[in-house]
Amino acid sequence: MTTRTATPRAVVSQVLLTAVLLLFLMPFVWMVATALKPPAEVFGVGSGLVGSEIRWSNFAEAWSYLPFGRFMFNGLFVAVAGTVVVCVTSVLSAYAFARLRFRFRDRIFLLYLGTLMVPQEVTVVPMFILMQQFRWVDSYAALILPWAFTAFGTFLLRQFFLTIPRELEEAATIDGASRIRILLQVVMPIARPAIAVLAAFTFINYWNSFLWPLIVVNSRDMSTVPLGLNLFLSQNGNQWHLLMAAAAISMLPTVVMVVLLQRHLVRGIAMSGLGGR
Amino acid sequence: MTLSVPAPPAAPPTAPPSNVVRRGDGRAALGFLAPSTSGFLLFTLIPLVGSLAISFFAWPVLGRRRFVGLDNFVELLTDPIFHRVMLNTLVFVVVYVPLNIVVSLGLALWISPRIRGRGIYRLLFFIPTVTPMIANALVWRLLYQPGGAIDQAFQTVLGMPAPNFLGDNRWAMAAVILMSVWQGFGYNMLVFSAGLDAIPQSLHEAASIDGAGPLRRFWSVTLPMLSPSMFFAMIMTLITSFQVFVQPYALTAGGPGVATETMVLHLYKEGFQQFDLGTASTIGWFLFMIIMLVTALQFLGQKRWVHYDD
Amino acid sequence: MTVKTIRKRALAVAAAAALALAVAACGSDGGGGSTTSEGKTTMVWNMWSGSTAEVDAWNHLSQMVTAKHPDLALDFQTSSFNDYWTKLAAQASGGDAGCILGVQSYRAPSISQLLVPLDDMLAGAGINAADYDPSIWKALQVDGQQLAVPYDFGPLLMFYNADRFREAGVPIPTTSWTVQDFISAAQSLTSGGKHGFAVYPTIDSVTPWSLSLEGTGPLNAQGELDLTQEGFVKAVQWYADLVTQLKVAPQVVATNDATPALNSFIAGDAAMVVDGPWQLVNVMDQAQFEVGVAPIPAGDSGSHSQVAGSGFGISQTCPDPDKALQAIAVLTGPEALQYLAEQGRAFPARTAQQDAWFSPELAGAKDGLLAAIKNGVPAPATENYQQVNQLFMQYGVEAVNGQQSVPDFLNSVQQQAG
Repeated sequence: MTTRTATPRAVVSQVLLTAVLLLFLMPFVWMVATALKPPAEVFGVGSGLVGSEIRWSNFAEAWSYLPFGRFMFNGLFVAVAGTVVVCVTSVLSAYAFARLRFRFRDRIFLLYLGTLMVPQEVTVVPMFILMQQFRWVDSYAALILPWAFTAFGTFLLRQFFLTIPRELEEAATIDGASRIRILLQVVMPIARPAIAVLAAFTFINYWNSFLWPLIVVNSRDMSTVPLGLNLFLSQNGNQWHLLMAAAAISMLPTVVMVVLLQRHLVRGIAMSGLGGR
Repeated sequence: MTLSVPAPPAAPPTAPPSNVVRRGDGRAALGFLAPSTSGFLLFTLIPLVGSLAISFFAWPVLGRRRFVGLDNFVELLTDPIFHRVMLNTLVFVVVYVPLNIVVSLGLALWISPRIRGRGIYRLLFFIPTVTPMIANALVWRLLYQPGGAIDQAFQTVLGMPAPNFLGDNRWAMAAVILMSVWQGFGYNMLVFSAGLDAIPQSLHEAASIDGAGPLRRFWSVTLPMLSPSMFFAMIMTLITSFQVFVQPYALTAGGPGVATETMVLHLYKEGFQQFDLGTASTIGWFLFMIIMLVTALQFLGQKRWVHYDD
Repeated sequence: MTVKTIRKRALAVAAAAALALAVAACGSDGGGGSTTSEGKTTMVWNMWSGSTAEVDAWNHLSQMVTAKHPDLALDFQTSSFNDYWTKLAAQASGGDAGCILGVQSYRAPSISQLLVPLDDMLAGAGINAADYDPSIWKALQVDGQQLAVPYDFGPLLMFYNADRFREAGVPIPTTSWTVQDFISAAQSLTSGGKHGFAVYPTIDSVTPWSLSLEGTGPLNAQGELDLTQEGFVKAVQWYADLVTQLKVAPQVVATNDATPALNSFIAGDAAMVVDGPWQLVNVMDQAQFEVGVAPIPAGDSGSHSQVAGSGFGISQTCPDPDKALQAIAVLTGPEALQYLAEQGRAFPARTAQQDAWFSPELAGAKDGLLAAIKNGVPAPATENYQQVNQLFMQYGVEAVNGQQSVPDFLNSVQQQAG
């Protein structure tokens, strides 16, 4: 690590970077500014950053203009339930692929791996038909289950489990512990950071998901937050000031989570190569 | 724990070496795998095969479906609108991916250890990637709108109105790409940051002693060391950029005309607004095949520029 | 495994999956939308809505139903106007459509196969066609069969910003104003970044101009879509010229929702806009200026607008259509429509209740609206109206902004939708 003496170049670099960052954050600034404006001042010549008054009441109005509390509940419920299903099934199967010996293990795992490259869009049509057959259209099950069994979590956790020294488990085996107890008491505590990363990203994906809810949700009462935001652009004239207030609220859960978990997440992204987007 | 460098994708699934000889764990494995595999079968494998099957049908939402063989494929391949849609998607990918890589690599380099509070900078640049994309896109729609923030900035600084970004077919795709880069580069920036931090300082110092300037050091030390992360980031970015949907949906609805209609947006419209599920499924398979092809090409080309340690 | 056996197995898996899907697809049965327990029937009512205030109004109506028929309760399920139409077919195919469905006159032909013809049942439920405005009653018929009972209707109107007119000293529109008056007003009101008018390329908003200027709509004499007929092309050209030549209306953007013109009116940027009476209560709520209402200005063919409206029909999958119609009789009955009218939500389809709509806030709209109703013509509707509407919006942006010629634009929509 280089020493942290502030050379003039470093200072210039820091100042420029801050300027870039501020420009980068402009959309968020504009969002919050718009959320605080009276509706008639959202657009148009001379409508600056700050309106003629600061209307905090827009946030309350956005909350009640549409059942936004309901959207938040739906979003949180779906994201939390989905995350739980993903983590539980991934831990179990990843452990099996990493540690158990059984026939066709490598072939089944290869099959899992093969589907990692399949984009969600390829399967939305049959998935929609499947939901119709199950009578799941417009239900929590349809929002949660279809994407809770992708190979990604299994792959990620298996990679991690393979780095755990076997000796730890073997000691427990000699003590007569069952497989499931070894998993719970020996492996899980070590794997906690990896599971946290998987959980965080699964939550974020569910929370932000748009295409699938757009397809499978019919009624307003089943809408998740992204769908709810879209509803502010209705045939009654767009409520941009309310939409921006709602958008700001919609960002809170994931932003808070990222701030709290930032160390783990950075390491998790590096570890899994969760890049892209 | 050593987790600094991204794991190479798809580590070969060889059996881990085992010193202890045991009987097979068949029964236990069944228990451990059952929840995941049954869901995987039902919600991944069957739909995957099913989507190919559906693409051979005329499959309206209401009314009779019938087998039409390759008609859906032929119709799409001869449809000028679908040609345009594929071209749009390609333009998006070809412009977006390099921009994403350059911006994320540039910022990863810029936020060097010499920057104070670099964690905060990283965090803030990362924020748009985790906020709902539809929220981001709608904010940008507000910015792009005539009379919106960008237009007003133009009027104040240049004394003339900004282009009609979302209504002008020469600007609409550029507007979609710019918003996408803003929203999406954070992941790769973090990947590159981690990769850069993992490069031993001694390598840089050795190169300095050999008389290499900063540019030279970048080309002969940093880039080769970073190439595995770059390779993986590029593949992931390519795959996801072929799937672009929310940005054109929320910004332009694919318009004006079909200037920004991408493959997934077209799939959505065909399948869930026109209710032609057979055609929609076929578009999905086109997308899949293109992604497979591009990924395969990337893997073939990687030997020429990706350097693994060993 | 050799390549050959892999291929064989893959084929077998594919065949099995296709079979499973096909079998499953055949197995679905209808009969959704209604449940009965302990002598009490609960029916799903599908309807579009925009805001919580609107939903509250509909729920109030559903309480009226239960008050009148204690054994009947409605389960109100709602989505946005655009989503409603794209979801309805999917819901119906899954057997998930409600018993009672909202039906808009333009879109009635496109969902006619989902609806039960009501003609033989109306008298039994005490619904009398003579109580309703004949134009909207008729507009909810397809092939001579009544598919829905109307609750509201209205022609498209000109909303104007009375404050801007006064400030600029421009004469306020009257019920007998002409297209020339409109153009000169729009020109006087266009200055300093503000515009006299706002357009959005929807087929609905072009049609009144086409009717008034050229005496023709988007359909030909046989009732088929003919966007390339001479009069309609000329009218669309005139409409686009407002943006490209006269520059009295701002350029448009490509978007999902059809309301940019209305937004720019509400924001005070455009002094006039064309929309329906159902928007008036929202517009007055949001606009910080006095909103006036006038009929479409008269062109060579007079002042005309298409009359559109909405009502409620019964889905084919409803197990108890007679009960559903009892509910509809309440939903479109005098009390319900009186209530909606007093709220300014819907201009009543029942003639006897119409005066209630003009209650103090909307009194200024009376002359304009009544004049427009008098000259209204039935709304054009085709089976694929929803698709035509979307294509028109999507491609119209380029035409209105002058990036594509109007005839080319109309040709390409006609080809894709015709």
